[in-house]
Amino acid sequence: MSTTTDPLDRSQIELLLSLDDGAGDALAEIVEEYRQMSWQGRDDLRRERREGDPTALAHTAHALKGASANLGAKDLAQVCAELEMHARQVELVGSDEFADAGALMERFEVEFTRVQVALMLLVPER
Amino acid sequence: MKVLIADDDPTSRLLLKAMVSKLGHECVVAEDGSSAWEVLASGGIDVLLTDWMMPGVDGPELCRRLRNEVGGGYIYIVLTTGLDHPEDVLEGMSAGADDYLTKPVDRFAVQTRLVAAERVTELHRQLALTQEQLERANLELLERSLTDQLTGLGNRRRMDEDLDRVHARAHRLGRTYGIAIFDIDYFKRYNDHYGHVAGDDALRDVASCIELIVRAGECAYRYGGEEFLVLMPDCGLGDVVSTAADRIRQSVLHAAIPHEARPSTPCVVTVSGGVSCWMPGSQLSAREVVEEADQALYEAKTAGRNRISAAPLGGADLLEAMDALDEPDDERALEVSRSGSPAHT
Repeated sequence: MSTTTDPLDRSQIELLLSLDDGAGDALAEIVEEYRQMSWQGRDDLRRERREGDPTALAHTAHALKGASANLGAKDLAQVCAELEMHARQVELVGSDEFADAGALMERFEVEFTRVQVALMLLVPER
Repeated sequence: MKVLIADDDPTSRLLLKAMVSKLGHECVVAEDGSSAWEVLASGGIDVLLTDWMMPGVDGPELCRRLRNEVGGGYIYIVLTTGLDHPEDVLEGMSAGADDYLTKPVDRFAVQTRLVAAERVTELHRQLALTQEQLERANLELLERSLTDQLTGLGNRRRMDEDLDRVHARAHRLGRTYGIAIFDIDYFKRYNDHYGHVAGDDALRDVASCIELIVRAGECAYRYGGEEFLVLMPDCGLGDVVSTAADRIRQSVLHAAIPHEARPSTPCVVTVSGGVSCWMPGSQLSAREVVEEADQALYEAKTAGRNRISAAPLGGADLLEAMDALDEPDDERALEVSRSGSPAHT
């Protein structure tokens, strides 16, 4: 995953813009919803990792994965998918250690920031 | 179409709603499975686009509930799921989904599903309509098979069914019923004189007279060529059956349908009638009660026609026996006087 690529898949943004014939209201509405749920989701992920709750973490990662994909944030969605899978494995094995979640979480934090900046440029916060 | 979107992710709800609305469909959203179920239960939904994973009632559970629900129109179900669990798709389809979409959803994929949904729900609508028409046609056919085409009265088959039911009920509950059979007097001469078309008209007129007089709960049937039968459940006691039968006879007489070929006065169409009655304790079968009425009818014919004759009941005259049952005190007095003075019997 290169940090020089666009964090947002522009074809998905085009699709969102086409929904109201380019007026951008639908896009703005979805971005606004995404901002709220993704910031909350990031805080949840951090807390759940700290508390060692793989079930809750898998659930949060799953929700973030779906929402990110809707915005065309493919790389972020990919990291979320890996986090979800990792948490499910931990859940399955019964270990309360997130052995190598550190690297995944770092990737998540980087990608998360890139997406938020890109969204800010696309739809300024109200 | 009216489309319900069930998804716990707000971005997915907004995205799907915008797509579906743009395609010209009405859109309703639900944030979880339970509220989706409430919307579905209130009716009017054609298509359900539901997420797989939702807190509480999830997608497959929604599918199962909908498919187990009987009645209402067919709801086309599309499950939305991530690509990472392809085995989910099979489970979802087995649970009752018609199709699936992978997330993130693509506008043309949604459009494709809705085109299929429109066709399938329309087919189901047509099917339900055809089914309904078929059921109605069956009912009409059944009704027709039990109706006499000429007079519109119940036919012999309906009479058999009703009589069996009334007899069984009377037997079980200790009730009574009466039977009156009527025959048009000199009907062969009528046909010979006026022709069969006029004969049919006369049959219809007599049927109308009978139908006008029968009371609620009683039923009239065309029993044979020019014979009619009236079944009187719970006919009560006393001379109710004979009185009712005589009202019918008078009604036909007063209709004054000319019958110039009648060998004696009055020169109008008349009927003769025979009545019988079933009472608790009687060993007679329903057929035997009818036979008794038929026998009484024969007596009315030989006694001069245009009259009602009652079947005897256990050696006593029917009317007398019913009078006795109607007034139990008198009956006891009668029995006392009979046993007290044998000369009276």
